[in-house]
Amino acid sequence: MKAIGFNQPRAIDDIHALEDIQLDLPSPGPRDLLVSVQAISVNPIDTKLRQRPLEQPGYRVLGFDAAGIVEAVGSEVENFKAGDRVWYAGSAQRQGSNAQYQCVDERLVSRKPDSLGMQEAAALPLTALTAWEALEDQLGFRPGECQGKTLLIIGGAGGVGSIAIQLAARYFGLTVIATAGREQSANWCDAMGAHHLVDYRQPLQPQLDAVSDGQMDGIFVTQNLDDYWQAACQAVAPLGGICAIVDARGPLDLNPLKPKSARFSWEFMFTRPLFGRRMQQQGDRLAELATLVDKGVIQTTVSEGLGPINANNLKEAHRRLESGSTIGKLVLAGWE
Amino acid sequence: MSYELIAMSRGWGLQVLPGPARAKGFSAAEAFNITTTIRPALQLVACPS
Repeated sequence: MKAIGFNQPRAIDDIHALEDIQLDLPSPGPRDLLVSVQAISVNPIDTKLRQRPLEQPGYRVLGFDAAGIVEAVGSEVENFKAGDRVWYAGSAQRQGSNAQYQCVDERLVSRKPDSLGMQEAAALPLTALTAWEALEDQLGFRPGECQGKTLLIIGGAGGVGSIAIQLAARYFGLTVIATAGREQSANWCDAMGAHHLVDYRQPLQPQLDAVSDGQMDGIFVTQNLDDYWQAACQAVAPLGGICAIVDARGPLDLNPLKPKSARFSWEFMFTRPLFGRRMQQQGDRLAELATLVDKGVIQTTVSEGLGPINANNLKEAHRRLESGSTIGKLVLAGWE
Repeated sequence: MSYELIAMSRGWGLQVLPGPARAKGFSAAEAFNITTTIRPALQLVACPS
């Protein structure tokens, strides 16, 4: 089968950074689906893993968002059959979706929304699971029970920010304030459903005071955690929470949170597949997300399709993500 | 879209903040652009030091 992989870390402009390769068709384990991958999207974890040394020789296949068609199922699979049209993020421990066929545990998968094509669907799984786990599991918000509560999203126009705005505003019922820096980003966040936008280049607290009581029940940091830590500690409400999905470059001082009894937590979407804990929750949430999409509550976050799935187009997607200015999600679809 | 014209047509002065702009019917993006573009520009004109 066709795949795109790499066998050692290289800068994205290196001709071998990502290569078109041929691999054997994978065999599904007992709980695996063998999926014919139709569309993928690209996430920052792809660019990070591409720059890390490989743990074993051979080619590593990245890709942690896919929409496709089930070709075959393992002996213990209960909820899927050949021909099902599915979407998923999968596991970072296994070969990814940048291949014509991929094996994925059925507990991480759901049927995709009927109302979205493969390309539009592939944009959502990883970012939506990340945002949903951050909002509900880490920050403690419950869908439909957030009237009067305010969420600040740092990095509103990125992939996770885009779907976090939608879930928070349209499903959880939060008042959402998002940071933006450019008119294009602001327009995108507006379209995603943000109630207020603040300029990340200016001090945050005066801007938050202008659009709210200045006390954030939750703060979701999707970029530059160190740069926003002090402002987040100031803005978080008593008994509120800060959740981050990006590593800190240095130690974080948690002491400012003590007088407020505020909490800090990490969100890492791959924790469940990595440790085998409560994996079915991801399949269940993707199924619920599909329902929300088909009802028109949630929309795709695709900003641009980059063409068929091949090394050249994938390198362009990595290059743009590494620039740090991408809005929404970049997707690739189909095989030549 | 000319945010200057929108702001002027709605009677905004130099102290445009996102909150009041939203309350007066501007979208979140319009309010953002008024704050980041219009207000600094107006202040620049008002204080040409």
